[in-house]
Amino acid sequence: MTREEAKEKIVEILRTVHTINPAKLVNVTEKTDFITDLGAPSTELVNIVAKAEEKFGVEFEDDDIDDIGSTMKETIDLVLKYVNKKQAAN
Amino acid sequence: MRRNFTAQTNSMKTLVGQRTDLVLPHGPTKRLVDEYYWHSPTVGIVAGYTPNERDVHDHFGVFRAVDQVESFGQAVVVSCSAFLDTEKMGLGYKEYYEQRNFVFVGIKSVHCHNVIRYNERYVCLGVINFYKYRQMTASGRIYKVPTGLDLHAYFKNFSEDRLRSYDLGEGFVLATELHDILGKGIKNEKLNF
Repeated sequence: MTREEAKEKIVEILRTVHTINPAKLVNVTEKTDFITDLGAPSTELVNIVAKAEEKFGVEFEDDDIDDIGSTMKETIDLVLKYVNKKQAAN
Repeated sequence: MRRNFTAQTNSMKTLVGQRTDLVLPHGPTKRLVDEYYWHSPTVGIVAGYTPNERDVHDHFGVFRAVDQVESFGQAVVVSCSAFLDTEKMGLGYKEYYEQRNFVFVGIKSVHCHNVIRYNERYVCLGVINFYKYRQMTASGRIYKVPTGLDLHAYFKNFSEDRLRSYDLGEGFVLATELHDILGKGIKNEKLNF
């Protein structure tokens, strides 16, 4: 999976988050911050990550979520770490 | 008589019988839970406290609503999260709090029905709404307790259904409703401890 593919899937997740205005999802880049740029409350981050688990078919470790930030780049990094690990195991 | 819990690790099935001063990281003047009566780790908890003189000082002998919220947060979010996380990490509470602690993140709403005064016993009935990645949301109620009731005996056969429907007998007085109390476990370095 490429970073762009991961980003598109994460944007699909963000479209389901009711606290995010879909109009803000048009020009999302890896620098986009879910809190400052998209207006999501910080408490929403856990829900976004939980939805990413489901969408990508992986299960994140609590410790990795401890250190995650609120940008698209950090979310892509997290997702690809687990997706690549899963692919390597198969 | 209480057992010696000095070397206690979280190998017990629930928090009932565990000492709140070991489960909670708060110091004695800020700890607002003193007994666990019923606990189902993924469902919720019943815990109690009695406000002392210091708790109501300079406040007309009344226990403040904000302290009720804190008490509920300690009873439900901190206690239940600490239980689950220490269980998962295989740590005792002391070791756990050397690495991590909890922060109060927010609350959706609080509705106060009755005041709680000095020396009035109350119980927090808390239901876990969500728990993942060390973040917990819980809702519930605080009830004043009938004088002289043996709460350990009363809640011995309590159940998830009774918790969720706040099924208590006569004499319990609803003090407060709390919705979506949110707390989170974080590394101590993020708190600059």
